Amino acid sequence: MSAPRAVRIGLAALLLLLPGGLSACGTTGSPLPYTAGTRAAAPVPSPASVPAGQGAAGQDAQCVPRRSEQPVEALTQPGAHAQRVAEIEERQVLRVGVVAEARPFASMNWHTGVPEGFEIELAREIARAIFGDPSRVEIHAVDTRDREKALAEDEVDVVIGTMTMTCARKERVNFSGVYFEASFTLLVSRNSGLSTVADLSGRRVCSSQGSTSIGKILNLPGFPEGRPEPVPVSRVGSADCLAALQRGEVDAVASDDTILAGMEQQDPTVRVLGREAFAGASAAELATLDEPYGMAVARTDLGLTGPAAEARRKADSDLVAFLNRMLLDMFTDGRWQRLYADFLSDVPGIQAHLPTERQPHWPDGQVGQVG
Amino acid sequence: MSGAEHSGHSFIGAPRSAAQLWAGARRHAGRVRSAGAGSRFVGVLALLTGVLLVAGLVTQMVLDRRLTATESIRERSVAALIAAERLRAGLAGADATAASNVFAWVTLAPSSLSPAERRSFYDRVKADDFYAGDHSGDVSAGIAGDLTGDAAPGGAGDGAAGADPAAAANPYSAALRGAETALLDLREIDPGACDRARDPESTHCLMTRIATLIPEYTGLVAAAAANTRAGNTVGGAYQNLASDLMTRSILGQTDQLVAAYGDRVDQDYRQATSGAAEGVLLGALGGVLVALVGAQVYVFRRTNRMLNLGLVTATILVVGAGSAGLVLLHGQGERLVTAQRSDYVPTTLLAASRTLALQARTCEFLSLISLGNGENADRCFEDAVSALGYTPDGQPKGPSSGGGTLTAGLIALPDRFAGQRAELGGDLGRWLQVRARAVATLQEPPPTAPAGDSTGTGAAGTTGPTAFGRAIEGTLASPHFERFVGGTDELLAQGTDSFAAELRAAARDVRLLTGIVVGAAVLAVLCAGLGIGSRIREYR
Repeated sequence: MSAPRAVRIGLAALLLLLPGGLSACGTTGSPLPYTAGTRAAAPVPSPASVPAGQGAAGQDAQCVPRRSEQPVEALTQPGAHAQRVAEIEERQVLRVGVVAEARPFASMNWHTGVPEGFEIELAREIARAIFGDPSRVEIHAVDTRDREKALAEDEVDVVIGTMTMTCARKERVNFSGVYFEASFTLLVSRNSGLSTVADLSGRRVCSSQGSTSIGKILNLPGFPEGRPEPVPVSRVGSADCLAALQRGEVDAVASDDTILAGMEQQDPTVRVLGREAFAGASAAELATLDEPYGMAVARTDLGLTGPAAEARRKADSDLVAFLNRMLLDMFTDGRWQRLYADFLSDVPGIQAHLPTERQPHWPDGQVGQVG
Repeated sequence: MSGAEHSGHSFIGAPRSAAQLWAGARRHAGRVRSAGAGSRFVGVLALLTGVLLVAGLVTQMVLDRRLTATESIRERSVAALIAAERLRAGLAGADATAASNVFAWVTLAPSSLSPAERRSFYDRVKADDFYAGDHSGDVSAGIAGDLTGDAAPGGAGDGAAGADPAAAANPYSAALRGAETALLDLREIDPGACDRARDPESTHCLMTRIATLIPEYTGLVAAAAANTRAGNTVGGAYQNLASDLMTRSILGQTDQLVAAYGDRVDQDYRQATSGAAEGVLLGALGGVLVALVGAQVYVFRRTNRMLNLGLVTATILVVGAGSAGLVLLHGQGERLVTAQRSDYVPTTLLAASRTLALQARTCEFLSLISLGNGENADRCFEDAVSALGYTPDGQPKGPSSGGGTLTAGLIALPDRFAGQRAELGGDLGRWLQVRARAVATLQEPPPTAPAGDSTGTGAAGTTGPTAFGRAIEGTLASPHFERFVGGTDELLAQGTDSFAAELRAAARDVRLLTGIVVGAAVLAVLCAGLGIGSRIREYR
């Protein structure tokens, strides 16, 4: 009987080994490496990611939006500039912020790779005034909403970016005298049947973030009382608003007549509404449509007190006075008119008025009659 | 006395009690004992044959399931995952190329070029960058119609059969066609309609949404191109809208597809390497051995012969087949684990890296389009590069930062790819360095104008390329990004082929084992029959 016992022992050993054999056979999963699967979408520029807003409300009762420093007697020569101009000269380059989608004021020419426009040439004129060399300018593109930030953070020396002079903004930046008189208006599809502000009741109206237009959409001169107001919609830039209009996302674009005229040039199916769109508005209400453009420079006195603040205010004033002299020279020697002819004369709906025609004692801010 | 009789309720046809059954069994056993030895050997042989056949059948069924799971990895889940990755890369590539096309016009008309140089520029742009060429006679129209797939039974993929993405005239068209073809392939691999009510997040619904969004994306790109060509600033806005749609919606859905198919690969892998097959094989082997040894003991007791040659042979066959089975199953599992480690993991990581790099490329172009004012585009670029495991200036991030997709993928590559590993890392680093130089170029002050050059307006446009022009030129002329994508494609193709070969070999192992088990079972039955048959004849 020894053989069967051996067989039994063998079988018992085999059965004992079975669990060991089983446990040696593990299951292998194949999960995706953690970095190869779903990822949070990387953010890309979003035209509609920031809600509409308006600038600061607190204003000086004595403030005159168009008023600026009296120009210096004459442009100083390189090496003899006042403090802030000398700082730019020392850096060997003028940094200018522009809104690079606001044709015909500033935009990139994608055929040449060179930015061009009325404001680009103004920037070159400042560089010529400081260095004697118009090419020593570094153009920085800024969004409408980031113009003041670019100045506050010293990314640029001057912003020449279709920036309307307002008292609210003057609490944060200094403005040169007006270099262009624009006006608020609206752009609509040519076949939309929308021709007055009353027609925009309850409709979506787009404006670029950080612009003065957003506030004006809710206070349209001539808009009848008791009707649903237009619905403001904001996009990062005015070109984004045009795209929104073309795609039917909005019914109108609110901006300055100059920028809207540039859009009309790009798209013959849209049109800029004239003053007749504000029928019924009083003269005082129509005056709120004015968008006087000024060059903005940083206020370096903010946050300082006493003599230090006074010294910085003086330096800031000197820079503004320098810019005003350059502008005044351009008004008088015909360079402004030549720039106008180069960039704005063929834009429909823009009326050429030298800022000095509107302000006889430019840049004191007092508006007179235009001839 | 039966239970029914005891209770006084006995009647004809009533079920018999347990006591009755037990009594019947004892009577039957007594008859067997009293039967002749030959009849008993017949009974033993029948029992043994039954055990062998049942064990063989169960083992064959289990192996069949394992074979199905192994083949499913290659033919279904991995094929779907690869197609989803192709879709993701195609879409990201199309977006990167569309964004770069904004600059095609910059190189078309530099005013300083001679007519001959200009013609050369034109021909290069025409050949490489922008023009879609004439595809009026090809199958692209059919592709668009088949993409949504739900309403075209049997038709999905028909248009793709002749579509060769590489035949498209420019990178944008080629990338888009590649994506569309991948989507059609996915429809074939994973057929079915989207049921929005019951499972809106199913792969079929994801595919439908992607197919619906692609035409919207191409429309925006077309609007961007048309406006940019006309010099309209709104072109940049359309390109931003297109890239936004691509990144937030289309690629987001594609990421979900990739993740879903990745989960399926995981499930199939678990089934294909499950320990159940080994367990069943060992159980069947144990059962058969018990039966064989029991039969051997019985024959020994009845015949006093030490060993029955037929049963010994059957036992050797069973043990041999079982051992071979265990070895083959272990080998199959090991093969799958090795394939996962050396092919699947690096391939999926590299595929994700390629998509990330293409997204970073898009953001790089969008940043340039925004003339250095693209804060969001810059952040998008940095996020994508960081996810790759690199710093914006081209250095791999340290281990403390957790690494990234590419750094992990390069580490996971087998040593035989050491050369390509170094090249890929180098190309990516150099591309990022070129980008960093472009950023620096945009920030550097303009060169001092030549003496006497104060001609005023347009000076910057006529005294040579601007900083912006130089930044674009440097970005577009750099071959490193294309080399990186090309190198990644090559590695992906090799990794995919190698992975498929390993999966085929694993399936071959299981198929071979199935043959061995069936053969061994049949032979063991024959041997047992021969061995016990001689005893039956002897004692009859």
